[in-house]
Amino acid sequence: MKPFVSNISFLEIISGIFIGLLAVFFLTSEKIEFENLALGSGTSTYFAADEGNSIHLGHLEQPKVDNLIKGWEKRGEKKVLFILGNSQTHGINQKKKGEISYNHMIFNDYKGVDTDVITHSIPNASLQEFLLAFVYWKGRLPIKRLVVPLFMDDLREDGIREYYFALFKNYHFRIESTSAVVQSINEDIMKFNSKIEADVNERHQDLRALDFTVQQRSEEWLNDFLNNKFITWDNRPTLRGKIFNNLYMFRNTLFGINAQSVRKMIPSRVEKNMNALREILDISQKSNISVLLYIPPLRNDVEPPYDVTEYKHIKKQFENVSTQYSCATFTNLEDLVPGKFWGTKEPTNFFNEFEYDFMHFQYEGHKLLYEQLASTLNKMPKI
Amino acid sequence: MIFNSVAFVIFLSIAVSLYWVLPNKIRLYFIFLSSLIFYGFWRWEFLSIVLLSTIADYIISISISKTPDIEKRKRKGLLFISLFLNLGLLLYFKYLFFVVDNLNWIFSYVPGVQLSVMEIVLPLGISFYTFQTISYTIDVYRKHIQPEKDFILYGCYVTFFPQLVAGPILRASEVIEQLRTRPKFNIDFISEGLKRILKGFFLKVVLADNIAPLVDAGFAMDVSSLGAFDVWTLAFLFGFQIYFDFAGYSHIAIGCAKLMGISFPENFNYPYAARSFKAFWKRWHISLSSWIRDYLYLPLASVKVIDTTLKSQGGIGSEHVIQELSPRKQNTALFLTWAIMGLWHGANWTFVIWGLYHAVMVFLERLFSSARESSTLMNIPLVGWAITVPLAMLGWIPFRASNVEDTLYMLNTIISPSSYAVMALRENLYLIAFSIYILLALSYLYKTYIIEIINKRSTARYVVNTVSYAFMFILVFTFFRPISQFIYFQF
Repeated sequence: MKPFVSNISFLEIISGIFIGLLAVFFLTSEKIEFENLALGSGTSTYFAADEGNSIHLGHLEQPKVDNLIKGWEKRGEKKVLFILGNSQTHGINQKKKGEISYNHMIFNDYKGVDTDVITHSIPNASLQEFLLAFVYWKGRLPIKRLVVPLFMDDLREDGIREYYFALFKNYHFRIESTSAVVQSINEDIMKFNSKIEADVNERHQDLRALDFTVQQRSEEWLNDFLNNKFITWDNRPTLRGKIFNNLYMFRNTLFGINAQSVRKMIPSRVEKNMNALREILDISQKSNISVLLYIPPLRNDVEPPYDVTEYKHIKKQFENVSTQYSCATFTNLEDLVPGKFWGTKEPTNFFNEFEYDFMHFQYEGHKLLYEQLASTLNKMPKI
Repeated sequence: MIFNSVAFVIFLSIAVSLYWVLPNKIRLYFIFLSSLIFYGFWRWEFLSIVLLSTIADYIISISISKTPDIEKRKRKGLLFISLFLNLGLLLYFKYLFFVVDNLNWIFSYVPGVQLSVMEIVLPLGISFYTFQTISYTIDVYRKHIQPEKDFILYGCYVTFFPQLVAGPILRASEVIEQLRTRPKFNIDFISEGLKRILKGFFLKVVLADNIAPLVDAGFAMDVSSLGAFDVWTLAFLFGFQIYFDFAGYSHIAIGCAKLMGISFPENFNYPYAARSFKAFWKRWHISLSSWIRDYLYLPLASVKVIDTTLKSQGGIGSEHVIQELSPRKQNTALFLTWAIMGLWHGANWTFVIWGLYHAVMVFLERLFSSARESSTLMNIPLVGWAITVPLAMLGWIPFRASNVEDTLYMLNTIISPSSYAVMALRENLYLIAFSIYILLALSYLYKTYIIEIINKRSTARYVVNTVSYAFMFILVFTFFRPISQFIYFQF
């Protein structure tokens, strides 16, 4: 009997590996862009450019920054109206050919005058990330006016994501301030620096345990070789994304969570982000930068995913902060975009057919937002 | 070389294939050489330290055995040289910065006196291979074993690549004979080895590496913003991470050795199923806890170790041996051992706190068990487990926290009733911690009660095992990347 048992044991592991291999070949056959997946198939990303140069960035990476700065120089190194945003800025629901985002419309508005319009929008950006982006760009461009949307959702976010600020991996950047929120941001960036130097390529982030070892080079070479020769290996991030997406869907199905489920605020994070906002306004005040703060449009034809009392309180808090700074103008645009201009997105659980999209609106919504922002900006003192 | 890398998979495939293809006579040379290559892939310049420790203990142990019993001072002197050399290396590379830092803190009260020390890179695995060579020399000194005359065989015992950088800490009696006899090829070695390696990679790259960013983010938060549930959640999550990480490593190490027909002792046995702290330490890092028992705890308690077949069986509390001792002696040995055990893990006071925390728990268990004998709640399995596991998890707070202040703050949060109203982590973290806890409990129940039933039916066993290995392979393939080192590499 012994040889039979041995063979069975061997057969188990070998057939397990074989079936597993077949499955990964099948599962990695198509590559998915997860940035688009996060937005939902109804919404497309749109990062504006002007004559081959970016005027709108999503990731802070050296080549992209260089390209944007080059464009700004080509256009005459004008003073800058700087727009911060999240995926609402670079997402257009049901986008048709030729449709552009509100920040691009503002750029076109200012084209003939002595102001340039530059945008940096980061998905789910916290105010801490806005602060970091603002301070970085303030060092690169002559920012004279700043536009900051104040999203309730993004107050739940915390910390700086390396993925969107890859530039700081090779670049010792820090914000000069002793405040706790700035210290925390500086610590986050410091951590990027301690990883593999001179590598902004995402695939090389996977090898960071090998920093400064003999193995680092061989592993990089082997991974590059496998990525280039085997699509299955190269598509592993897709498979990782699919797995996490399915876990997310499973969680939502299990607990009945959908896009309309109320997300509770986390007080410590709200406080930290409020402090980041104060820091943005402090810096702006000292640098004579006028700031437009606005409550962004919110879908109002269905119940929003907010605790209404909490939402009211947060809006009040935003307004109170803005009144403490003479450089700040505050406006509430939550009712600006009617329900018909918002879209739907893929379900976030296994049973729903579709879900309401509370973040991304169609071109018409962008147009309304542009008109409102442009009008408010015109009323502000000239820069 | 780090296990979770493509280079290692290639290295292992070549090493195992050549091992079985080469003539038996030269296999030992091959193991020794490939182990040096394995280590050199990390930093070749530190090979000299491994070789220094290996050669020194080889020579010293032979000298000890040749010295007649009557020359006690010479024998002791030789043992002292070995201890001085190994512990000296450990002190220099691992603790010098810590010692200087603490001296500077004391000197801060003396104007003008400050010591400085250059940055020292900790050689990979130094805590493990020095402990292994120390135990070897002590065993020879105690005459529990005869010294090995064949340097290559002895060298393989110290440097054998599966265990070189993070254990299991092997006893000479457990492995030298296997290396000497070198079993003939058997297909079971390959299937068992592959299964263990796959399980190990699953624990490391799928579970530990995906929990790590959550734990890192949680512990990076301002501790004053955390509520009691947050501290509990982080303690549990880190407890899971370190278990999956280290148990994963141990599975891979055991599997790699098995591929060459060498059996290593088990290093973990469902530690979170323990019903007491003493039991916990018979299930967690078994090779270290039994090493500490035999070479530190029992000598400190003035117990003569007479066991000639020392094995890695785990557990610091070999109560039967020392029951005759005075409680004062027992307790001094207990606390001293645990403080050193803590420091072994890292040169930081937080590790000492972690060690002493476990000492207090074992001490309390002793106190209550002697008072109640066979009665009371702790003897009900579920109650013992429900008390032990959360307390063991809480012990991970000092182990993972950045400093003593954060540790004390977090522990204080736990005992402050008002902090139970604050929740600062994302909802997912509580859910993930809870889900892992449930899955771990289910896997324990499966292994304890269901697997036997399945194994009785060969078809059922084949289907269940094949599907499990396929599932594990898919996930390992997907997440396989050297994104983080094994936690125990830094010790």
